[in-house]
Amino acid sequence: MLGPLLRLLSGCGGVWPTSPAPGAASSSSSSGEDSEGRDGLLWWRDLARCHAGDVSVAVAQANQVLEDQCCLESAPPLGTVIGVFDGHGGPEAARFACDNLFPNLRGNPNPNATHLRCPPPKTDRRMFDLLAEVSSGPQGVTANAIREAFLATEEGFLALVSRLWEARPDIATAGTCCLVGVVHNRTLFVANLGDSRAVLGKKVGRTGQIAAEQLCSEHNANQEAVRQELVAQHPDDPQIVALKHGVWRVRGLIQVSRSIGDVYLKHAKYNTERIKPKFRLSEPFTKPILSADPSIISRTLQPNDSFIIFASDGLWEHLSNQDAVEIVHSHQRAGSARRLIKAALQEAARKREMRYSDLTKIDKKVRRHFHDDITVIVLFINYDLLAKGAARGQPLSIRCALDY
Amino acid sequence: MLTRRHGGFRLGRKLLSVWRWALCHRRRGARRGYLRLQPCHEAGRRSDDSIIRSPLLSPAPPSKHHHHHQGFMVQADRDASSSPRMLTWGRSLARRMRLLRRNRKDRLLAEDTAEATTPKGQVAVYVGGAEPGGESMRYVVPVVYFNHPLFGELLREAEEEFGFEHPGGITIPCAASRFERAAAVAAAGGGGKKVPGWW
Repeated sequence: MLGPLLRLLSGCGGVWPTSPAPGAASSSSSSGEDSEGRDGLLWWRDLARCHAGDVSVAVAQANQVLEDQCCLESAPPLGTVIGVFDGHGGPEAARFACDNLFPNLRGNPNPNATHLRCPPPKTDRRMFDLLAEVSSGPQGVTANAIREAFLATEEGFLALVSRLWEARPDIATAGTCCLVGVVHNRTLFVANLGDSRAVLGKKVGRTGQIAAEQLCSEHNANQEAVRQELVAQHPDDPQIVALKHGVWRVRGLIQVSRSIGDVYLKHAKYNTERIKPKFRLSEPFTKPILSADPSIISRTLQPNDSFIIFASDGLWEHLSNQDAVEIVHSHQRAGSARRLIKAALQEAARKREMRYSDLTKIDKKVRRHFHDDITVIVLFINYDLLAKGAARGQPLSIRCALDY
Repeated sequence: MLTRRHGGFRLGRKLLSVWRWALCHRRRGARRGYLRLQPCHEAGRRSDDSIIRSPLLSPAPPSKHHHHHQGFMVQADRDASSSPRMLTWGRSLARRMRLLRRNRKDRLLAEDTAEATTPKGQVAVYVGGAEPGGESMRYVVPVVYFNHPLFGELLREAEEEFGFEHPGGITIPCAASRFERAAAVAAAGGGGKKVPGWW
């Protein structure tokens, strides 16, 4: 009796219908609710079909200029390729990585592509040329090929910095984390550079429960193993990791130990008085402090691998792995990414002693005091489709439409 | 009066308890009142046991709140005369029912019953004393003040001092007087809905 009354009292929002948990019930693909929307600093694409199954994307902005970028492409021969780029010190590095990591493999722009914004054509497309060459070769996609593609992107960005160094010295302090997932036939590759995270949701037997498995290690100085690795690599530098504002940072400046960009910490010639004083290092360095070597894992997908959540650290700051997979598992597929962002923002609001509905009244940049840019991509794996090797539907290409 | 029918509507014992609770609380509430910029850390401590903690990730102890009506009174209340008591009672009943119904899966997405200490549209700010030994005062200000340039300035200083990822509420390392000035300017400049009455 009080149910409808409570719903009336609880009032606002109500964007997500309280549908019963799909769980074991819906083995077929989702209802195909492919709605895209934007509400202030939040953008989403509720559900889209790709070669590996279904995908849900959402982005929430907090910085003055969005520093997160995300990209998804689904086309033969690579299969489904997902990228999450968490930039810092400016948007340039994330945008560069996003543009140059994803090939248009067929070489023509896809007329059915769901581009929301067409990025301006870039002449420097070495990353995806490399991936395209690799994928058409006899071995298909391999971990080495992905590593080479990362290095090529790093070199490309370095070339860009050297070109722009005179006019815009600040580009030397821009960098980005990269999280790339490739689903090629039944093999999953996850390459991580930085502190974004990919979490796999696995069904547990017949219990209907879901377990979380983190797929790749993070390169964040707050982890003991990463600190030890850094100290081992730089034995002559006592200040290689320092505690600042309660978190461990490399040289007291940056939390991630590997990234694309951040050339001011890789090449001493960019660490001059032309960059902002807070980034200057008192002593010059001989070997690069950060590296661009990704951690790559590959695994064969199993029937009980249900979905993978690719997200930047803005999400994981507020939600644990298990919380996130439970949220995705216990609601319908459409809107999963948006749902995760909402849960993270609610937690962020709770920590700051305010209500979630009031968080939306805060402008960007000030919003950064409450949470970081959040990018979430949830990939629902359709194991039967992958096992058959059937090409499904039309190629898909998604780019975030916020503030490009 | 309580058992007699009036226009077909019978007033039961429940209404008596509601009135008793309302009258008791009104007496208690009148002392505290509602001042937007009142440093209320002291009040916060006093009403600790009557605050509903958000059950988002740390389940609230339910036993305190089932048997005690006063437990649901929000700390900073509006003018007692203007807000109908039945509405508050209805809201608290809804909140109670929701707490009973909610399971672990849904709690992360439930509508925000969070932080009964902070009213809707407001956010808590901890303003540190200028000297190291100063204690930090807890202010509750409208959320929209944060968009004001003066607050932007204060937040920039906070970011330099504490970074973005500090635990707890927003903390600003400045003198309380400076913060109050900024809030007054934001109040006057931003539409002036609640201009201090004595101006």
